[in-house]
Amino acid sequence: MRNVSIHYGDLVAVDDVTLSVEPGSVLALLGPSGSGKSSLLRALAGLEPLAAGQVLWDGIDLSTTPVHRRNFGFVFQDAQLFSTMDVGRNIAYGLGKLPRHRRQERVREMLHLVGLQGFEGRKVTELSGGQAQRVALARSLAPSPRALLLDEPLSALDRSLREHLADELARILREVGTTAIHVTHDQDEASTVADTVAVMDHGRLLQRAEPDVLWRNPASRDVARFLGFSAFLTNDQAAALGWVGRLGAHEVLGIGPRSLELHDDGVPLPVTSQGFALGEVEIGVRLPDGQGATLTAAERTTAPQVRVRLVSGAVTPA
Amino acid sequence: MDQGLDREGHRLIRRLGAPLAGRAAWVVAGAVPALFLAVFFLVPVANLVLRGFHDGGSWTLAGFSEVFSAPRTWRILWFTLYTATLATAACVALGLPVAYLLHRCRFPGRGLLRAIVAVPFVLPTVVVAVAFGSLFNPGGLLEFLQLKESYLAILLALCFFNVAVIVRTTGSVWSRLDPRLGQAAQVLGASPLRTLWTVTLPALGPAIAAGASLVFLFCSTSFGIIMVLGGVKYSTLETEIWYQTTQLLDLRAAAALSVTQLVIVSGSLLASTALQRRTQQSLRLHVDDSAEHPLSPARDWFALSVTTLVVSVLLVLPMANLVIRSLRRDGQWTLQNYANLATTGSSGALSVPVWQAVWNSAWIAAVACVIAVTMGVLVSLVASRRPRNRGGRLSLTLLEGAFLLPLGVSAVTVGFGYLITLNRGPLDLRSSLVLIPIAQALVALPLVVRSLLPALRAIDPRQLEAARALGSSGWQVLRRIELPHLVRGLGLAVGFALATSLGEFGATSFLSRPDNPTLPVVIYRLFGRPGPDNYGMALAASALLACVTAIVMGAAEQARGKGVSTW
Repeated sequence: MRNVSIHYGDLVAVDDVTLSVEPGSVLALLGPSGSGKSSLLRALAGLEPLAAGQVLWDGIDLSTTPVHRRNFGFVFQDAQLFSTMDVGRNIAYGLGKLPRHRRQERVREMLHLVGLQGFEGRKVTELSGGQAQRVALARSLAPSPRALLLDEPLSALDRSLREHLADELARILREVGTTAIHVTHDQDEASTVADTVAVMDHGRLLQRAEPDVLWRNPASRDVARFLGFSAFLTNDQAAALGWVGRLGAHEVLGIGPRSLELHDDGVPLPVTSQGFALGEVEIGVRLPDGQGATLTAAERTTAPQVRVRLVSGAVTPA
Repeated sequence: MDQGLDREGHRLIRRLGAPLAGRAAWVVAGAVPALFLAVFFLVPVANLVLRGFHDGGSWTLAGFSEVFSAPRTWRILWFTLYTATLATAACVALGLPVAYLLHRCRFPGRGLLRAIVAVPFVLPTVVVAVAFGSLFNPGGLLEFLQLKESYLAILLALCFFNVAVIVRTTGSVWSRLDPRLGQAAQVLGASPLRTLWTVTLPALGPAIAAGASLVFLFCSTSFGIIMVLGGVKYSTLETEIWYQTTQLLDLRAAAALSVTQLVIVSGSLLASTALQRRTQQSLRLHVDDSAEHPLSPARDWFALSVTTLVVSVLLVLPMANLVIRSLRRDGQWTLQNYANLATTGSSGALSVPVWQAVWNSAWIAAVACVIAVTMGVLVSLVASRRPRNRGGRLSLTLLEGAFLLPLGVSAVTVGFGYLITLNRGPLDLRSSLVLIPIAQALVALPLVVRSLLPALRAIDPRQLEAARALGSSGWQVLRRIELPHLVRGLGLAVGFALATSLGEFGATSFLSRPDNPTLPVVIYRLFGRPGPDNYGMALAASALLACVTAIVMGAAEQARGKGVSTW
């Protein structure tokens, strides 16, 4: 993808983005809603017209190739199964003129891959949300596309199912070995599924890195904030809280939910709030310079202060 | 203590009494239109139907065996079904590309084009028949085609009316069909044509079928078109009923034919309603406009050319020809035909001048509109209740269905039913002019209900619950939330009622007297008489009636709120 821009009327959805994907790898496009990540994905598939730029595959310009000749797989947020056909015919839809038994074989293979053996004859209206999304995935993979594009395929599902399916999706993509671009606004989902994560906001590409690098070294405060780092400390402030690392002259340390830990010898900080998340207690504290931060603990605290030590953080340009 | 009891008692009364009073009010609100429907529709039609099974002394099927042993009946029945089927197929074929262009593409002038396509549906049948007749008659623009009194002219006229039905029923669904469904097919490698054929059209299937069965219904009961264009050569069930009743005075045969028609027509009406419900259930429809895309001639050339053809040749040309010919006499431009509307035509074609008929049409339409809209509002309000118990829901479904029945019963049957039923006791209204607006109101009622009810049904029930939770009583919710929604559909309802009444010909031709005709009756009489004066007057009166109806309907469309569309 080279210098791609997409406009909706006067609104610039994607602004001069250049991005490439290694064959066989999975790239996650991560960004808040309205960041232009879905528009970019749709433009790749040919579903949005480009205002500027090119879509290249192996050096060949696809910009003028119509959607149905691009041979990309696309999974929509809400499956978009054809309700007039059963599951088997949905999956076989993209297979073209194969002999009947080859087609059936491929459908069986795909259903096995997504863990829905024997679902060929089911009506799509009888599927649960998770099953529908699996069928949609099988349907996109059946014609062996050159790349698979996933447009927030899990965001319409409930949390536990989403986490389970993200693991499944990662497994399936590895198993098939397909090149894939996965659009999501969920940071955890992005790092579960993808080899590389590209962060977008306001139509621009902010950073592209492997998940662990991204979390350790966000390219800017905006990226860090989107990843969940809510407070930023200077080298001295961080050291005062017990941090053992060192920051460069033009760097700050982003403080996320895993940065602070309770410690008996730690610095006492006032508790501002307490809440539950996923069965753990989230304690809000006020840092010495007035910024807020959270840490997780096993139990609620009754004290007005907790002793805290800074153990990690994201090294961010100041 | 006393006071406490008192307060407790009041609270009880409020708790129990208010719902009871409310329910009673709803029952009354439903009973008024139900009674109206019973007296002026169900009883006359039932009376007519029963007459087909009774020979004065005992019950018999003799009327049927007589009618159905005549080859003429079978010929007419076959012709009716064959013509309706053919016209329906043509309307679907022409209507789908138009629906796509007008509801899926964005381009300047779309609003105007939508109006041009929508108006023909409400134009008076007699006017359209005259327009197509004058197109192919000697002196018409398409005289060279030699289609006078031909089958093709009838088919074209039927399409003229009903293309709009397909455009509207499928267009409103198409515009809200999630575009990503088609995109999913394209990404899988389906060409645009394959996407249309395997995904889009099947998804629209129920909507198309619902529209098609409505078109079939309108085509198989069309009266004015066949009366004017069919001459002696072509007749349908509807014209045959008229012929048996007024020309041969064979009521039994007419009754047998009416029953036959009732069966055909209720069948297609049932199919239409059932299919429409399936559309609403099976499709997850969009509400916003994101399904639209800018018109691109390269991609949309087919829809664009079909629409151009339909609009210019099928819709505009006949009406333009009508207006032009009404302004010409012996190769000269003149207003003579319009001036002649003050006369009774040549060789005693009419008993009163045409202006008298214009006046009759105007006040009859006004009265019919008041009746139809009043009844329609009551029916819609009652039918849009959401009772919790099964019995309540069932009775509302029945109520709604009952008020769509007049759509399924030919106007000729209604008019004929009045003649043989309302002739005694307190309701001897045969000679009373008031029967005409009542009959017309009944004919218009289904359209009125179908314009009002969707506006009420479109209210999200959670909105009403929110209003209740905020402390509004049932009546306040009705007044402050539901009535404003109802008003949005009211413009369209008034338009339909006026237009239907102005153009109604089937029932009116039974009920009107020579000294008190309406405009369509006068046009029919003038068009059938020899003489250039009469012919010119028929054209002028048709052009006049067409303009008035188009203006009424145009104004109604303007007043229509967004999202109020289905029939």
